[in-house]
Amino acid sequence: MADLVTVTIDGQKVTVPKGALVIEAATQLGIDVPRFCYHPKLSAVGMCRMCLGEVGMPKMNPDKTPALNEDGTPAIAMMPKPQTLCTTQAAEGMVVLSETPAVVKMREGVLEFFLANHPLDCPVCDKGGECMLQDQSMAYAAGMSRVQDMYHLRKDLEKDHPLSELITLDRERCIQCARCTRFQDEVAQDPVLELVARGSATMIDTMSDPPFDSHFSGNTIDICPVGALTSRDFRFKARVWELKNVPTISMIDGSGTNIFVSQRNETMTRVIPRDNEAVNECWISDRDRFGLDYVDNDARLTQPLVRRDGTLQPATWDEALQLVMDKLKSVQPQQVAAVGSGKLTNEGALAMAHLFKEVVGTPNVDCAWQPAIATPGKPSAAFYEELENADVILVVGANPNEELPILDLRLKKAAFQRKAHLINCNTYKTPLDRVAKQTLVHSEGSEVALLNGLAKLVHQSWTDEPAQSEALQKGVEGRAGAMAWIDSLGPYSSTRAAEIAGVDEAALRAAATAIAGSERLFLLVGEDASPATLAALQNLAALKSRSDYVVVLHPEANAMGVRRAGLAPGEGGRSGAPLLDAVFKGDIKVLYVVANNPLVRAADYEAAKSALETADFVVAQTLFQNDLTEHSDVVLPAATFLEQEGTTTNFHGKVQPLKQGLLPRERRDEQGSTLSACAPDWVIFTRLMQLLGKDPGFTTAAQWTQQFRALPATPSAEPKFSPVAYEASPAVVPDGSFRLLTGPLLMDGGESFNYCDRLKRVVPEPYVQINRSDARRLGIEHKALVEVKSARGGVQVRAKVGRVAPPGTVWMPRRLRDVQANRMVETDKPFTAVTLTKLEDAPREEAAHQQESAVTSYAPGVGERRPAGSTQGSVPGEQAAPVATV
Amino acid sequence: MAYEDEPKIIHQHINVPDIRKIGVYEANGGYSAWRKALSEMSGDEVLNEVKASGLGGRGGAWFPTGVKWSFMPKPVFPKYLVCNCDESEPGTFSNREIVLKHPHILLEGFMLGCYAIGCNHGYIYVRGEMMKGYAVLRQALAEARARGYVGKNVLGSGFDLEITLHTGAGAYICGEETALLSSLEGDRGQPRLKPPFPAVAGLYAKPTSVNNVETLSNVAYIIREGADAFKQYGTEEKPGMKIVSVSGHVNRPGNYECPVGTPIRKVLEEYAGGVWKGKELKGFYPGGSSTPMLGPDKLDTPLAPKAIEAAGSILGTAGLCIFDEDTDIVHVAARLIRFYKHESCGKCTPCREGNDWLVAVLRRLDEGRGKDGDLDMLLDMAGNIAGRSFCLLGDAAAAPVVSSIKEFRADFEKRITNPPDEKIFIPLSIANGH
Ligand SMILES: Cc1cc2nc3c(=O)[nH]c(=O)nc-3n(C[C@H](O)[C@H](O)[C@H](O)COP(=O)(O)O)c2cc1C
Ligand code: SF4
Ligand code: FES
Repeated sequence: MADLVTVTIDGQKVTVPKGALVIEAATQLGIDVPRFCYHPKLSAVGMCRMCLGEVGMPKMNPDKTPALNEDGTPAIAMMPKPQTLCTTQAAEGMVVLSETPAVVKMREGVLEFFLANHPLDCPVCDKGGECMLQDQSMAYAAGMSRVQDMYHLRKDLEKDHPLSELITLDRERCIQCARCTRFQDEVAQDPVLELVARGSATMIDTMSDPPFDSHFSGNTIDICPVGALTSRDFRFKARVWELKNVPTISMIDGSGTNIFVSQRNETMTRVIPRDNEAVNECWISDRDRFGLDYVDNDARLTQPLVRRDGTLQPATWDEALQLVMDKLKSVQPQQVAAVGSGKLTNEGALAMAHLFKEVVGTPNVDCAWQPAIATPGKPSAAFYEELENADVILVVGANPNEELPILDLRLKKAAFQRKAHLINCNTYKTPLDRVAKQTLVHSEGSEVALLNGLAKLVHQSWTDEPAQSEALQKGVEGRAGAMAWIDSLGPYSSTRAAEIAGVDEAALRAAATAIAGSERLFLLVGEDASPATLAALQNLAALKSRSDYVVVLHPEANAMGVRRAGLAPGEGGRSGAPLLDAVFKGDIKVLYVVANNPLVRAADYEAAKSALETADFVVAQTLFQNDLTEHSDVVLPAATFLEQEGTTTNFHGKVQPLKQGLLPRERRDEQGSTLSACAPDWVIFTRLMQLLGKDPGFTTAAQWTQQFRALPATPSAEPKFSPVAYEASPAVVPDGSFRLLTGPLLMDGGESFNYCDRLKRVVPEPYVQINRSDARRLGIEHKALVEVKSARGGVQVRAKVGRVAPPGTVWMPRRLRDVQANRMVETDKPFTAVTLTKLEDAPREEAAHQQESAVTSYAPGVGERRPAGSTQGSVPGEQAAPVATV
Repeated sequence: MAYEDEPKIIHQHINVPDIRKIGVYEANGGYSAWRKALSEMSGDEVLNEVKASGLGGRGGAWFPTGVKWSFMPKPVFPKYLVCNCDESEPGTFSNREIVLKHPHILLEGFMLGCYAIGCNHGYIYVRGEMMKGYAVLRQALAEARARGYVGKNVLGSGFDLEITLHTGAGAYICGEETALLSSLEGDRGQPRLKPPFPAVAGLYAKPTSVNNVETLSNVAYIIREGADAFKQYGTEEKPGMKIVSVSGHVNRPGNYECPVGTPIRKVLEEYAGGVWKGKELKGFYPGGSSTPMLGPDKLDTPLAPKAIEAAGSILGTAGLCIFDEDTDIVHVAARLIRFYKHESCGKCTPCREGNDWLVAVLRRLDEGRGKDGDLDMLLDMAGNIAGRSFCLLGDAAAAPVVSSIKEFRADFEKRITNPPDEKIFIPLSIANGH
């Protein structure tokens, strides 16, 4: 093949793609080229100079034929200067020497320079044992320092400079390799780290507010070649060689992130990424890294509770399950409802579906409180590989940065490194816009008009070019519903579509041109999108013959798996709001909730609350006592995904094995004998089946896994067309009001954060995003305290002024600490209108400064003024600090 | 002939009163080349004339300017011409005089350069400390704009030209062309990997040529008088004149424009009035402080790149610094390495860390606390910097250390064996008289 070249490294020949880096070619041969700044996932910079080698190219005669030595071998012209092998691209006939005495001396020289100022505090360094400087010094340094008598001149720098609540920097150990800054710039696309000052004073610093503000910051700890960036959580806790690393999958979100859970003495000490090129590469989100502490928390339930005389009291498993069984037997099957969530494993979900649908016999089974759309086709097994090579990616109604961080990284890679044309459609601005070619911030509810407009433009571009249109046209017309659909696009001229959606027509056209010319189109859509939106997307996909490339982005860990296992309403089954309503009305008597909480996750908080208050019998299978258990009659302690074996399915359908890293949490007596313990969901359900006389005979998770794998596979999507019309809503936002938009946050301060001592500190104060122009008009400045009020209720939060929310709208996190949008949203209206009232100025300059320093003194809430009596915005269990008078 | 009477190119009118003003400049033939090019010549013709003249880059590398321009891919737009006015090398001060006294000759050359390569927006990057020069250039540019020499449709030719002046923040490294481009883009002033070379992907990743002030200041002459007129001066290898900045222990320090190939002795003795106070010459560096020092035996070397290289140094920017017989060379080396340490950008290890330690070792040596073996260690450490660094700053830093030890090893050894009771500081006047 023309694109391959053969190079000779230390006498060994290797064939690599033209342009491959020599350091990679050497790795293929098993030749170790020492390095610091080079990282295969980052741009090559050639800064540290550790990988220097001698490089030569074939000599050419004047007539352009290769010159030969006397013995007939090709003559080689060595370059006068050594070259960094991490930046040298392989070329045909290239000769590389990486072990000559000159090269050995260069390496010794570079290491001597590094070590001259290094603190050599390896015995107390977290990185000790997995440090590149330590390893390479052992392998390549001279073993002697010539500057010993000058150690008193060694630089004296900060040993513990917190960059954020999560990460601290040891400035003495930093070797200025810029891996961390390049990661933030290129991979995370959150350019919040920078090298500052110059020469030997060069150091790392963060400029963002809050500091080092990125959902991916923890990865810099892993890629830092030395112990300069360390986890403030793991700091000084263990030596790395004492750790037992259990390979498993993080069930924090739907990415299916591969992790190692490290433990020492049966205690979880840290979470680090586990390389998997097909999923997360070598990255994980900060939520995966710092957000699993809740598993190992003393507040975990370890014993069933049953309500006796109005209070929850400890019971044995037998007592509790007997009670549940009696109750299930005493009512009609249809009077039972069971709602799980995407947090269940495939096995747990399958057992649950089996128990309720087959054994109990109720169709009222679901995995959420609101209907969600589902991926219509079968995503490619090499999903990410294909996504990286996509030429056009259309994202509708999703914010992967907050929902599926690993997908977020891949999208950024596709757009930034692989130059895919990314079109981002959402009702507000998201971080993805940084790499998007077109940002179509459209009005809420106009998605169908927008997509129909795009489809019409794409179709038009064919008919405008008859040469190519004929074949394409035929291909499309052959499909079900094509002509009717094309006719139905009539009203969606680009002008009208742009007007309805409130987007720039030129941008819409540019997006359509990109889609029309695409060969490897991807269409990604958030799970909250309407079925009509999904249908419009499917039409567009069918037009481009990419029906299997419409993928719904489910943020929940196992949303795909639990649906496949059957956690969906059966024939005539109730779900969502009607289900809660039936509980409220008494049509449903037993509500069995697993790994879910309607008070937080139902669209309407009041509806959930009324249902729970009136329900005859509520079972909560959960990890902690909370507002749901307050309403429960039986509480069953469940094991987390880290405490069990099984499998989970990520959002694009990849099934991956879970490994038990910790024993299910137990309660022990003084002698250490186990009194009680939590149990995996599948165990609880299997046990209930036994009690109900329908023993499936399964005693291991693997048996359920086998059942799960035997379920019919999802078929490929049938390319077909179905006309969908945009339905204009007659309602308008009243004067002086704003349309309330909501969205997800990764660091939302939800229940588990209460038990993650480190991570909860990065959860922001509750806030509302207001557009600059609106804020200016209302005299609301950044960080001012405002009241946001709908017809249903109001909250007091800080204002964030910017461009996230378009004019005339405000954006609030669906949940942030104890502020929940579902207490304000009017579910019976097409949208919720809110008013804004400023209550208090932003903290003054000094206060702002104090607050900044407070950030590094780790007291959330300090310096923030809150009105007395308001509990809004403080993490439960942690009182907001007393108000300082300004 | 006295220096004043010798023919010159850039300095021909430099002492005419008020030559800074556009009227006076025009009265002395100024902007006639620009008018001529716009009305009679195509951009390619201008480029070919410059190529034919053999003009070599005066920024130190002497690379043929016309060839460099012709490397820029034709069909890619926009293209950029960037004038390197970051002159910061100790001992080099020819650009500064041009900018302060004779700004229009630079602007005219710059405009011609833009025209030659098809650049509609050029940048002049002025060193941060050169605020006066910046003010002069700004005034000159405003005058040129008022005359219609820059702007839309220059002199009705259909050629649009915008020129932007930009000041750096004061960093030697920003004279290195890729660092200059990073700084111009608003990034840290640090060099970039090559390839890609600026001619392919420079400013904003577009084809870019970076040229020195003195290089560009020669272009108006070449276009006005023709390549052959230019070639009557200098050597076959490098035609034309070079402004030699003479500093140090001489009677008349200053800038002297003389044909390439003029012997150093002539510049020192005839133009600069010889070593001051009637003292003997100890040594000199010929091309700015980053070029290796030479001893008196090399005084007859012609100021031409190959000849100076044969003598063991580099012509560079022709910043000739003279040391008299009483110069404390150890101190000179110690002082110079401090400069390079201060200016190291910090991107690569050898230059960032190595210079730090060179400073420490040379300081203790200078202060009389040197040890046996220090000299060999210094040479070895400098060897681990030169040729190992990301850019040439590392080599520049190592050169004065290595060359001074090699040329004057006895002085260094004496400092170790007979340390002075008390350090006597001899002021090192690089560029005095300015
Ligand atoms: C460390 C370093 C500093 C430099 N400083 C300057 C400078 O101040 N001015 C300059 O014109 N060229 C400087 N150069 C050379 C430039 O990189 C570049 O070669 C030059 O501007 C090209 O212009 P020319 O072809 O007209 O000489 C420097 C190079 C290096 C490596
Ligand atoms: S902190 Fe670590 S990763 Fe960042 S520059 Fe320093 S050594 Fe490199
Ligand atoms: S690994 Fe090649 S220069 Fe750092």
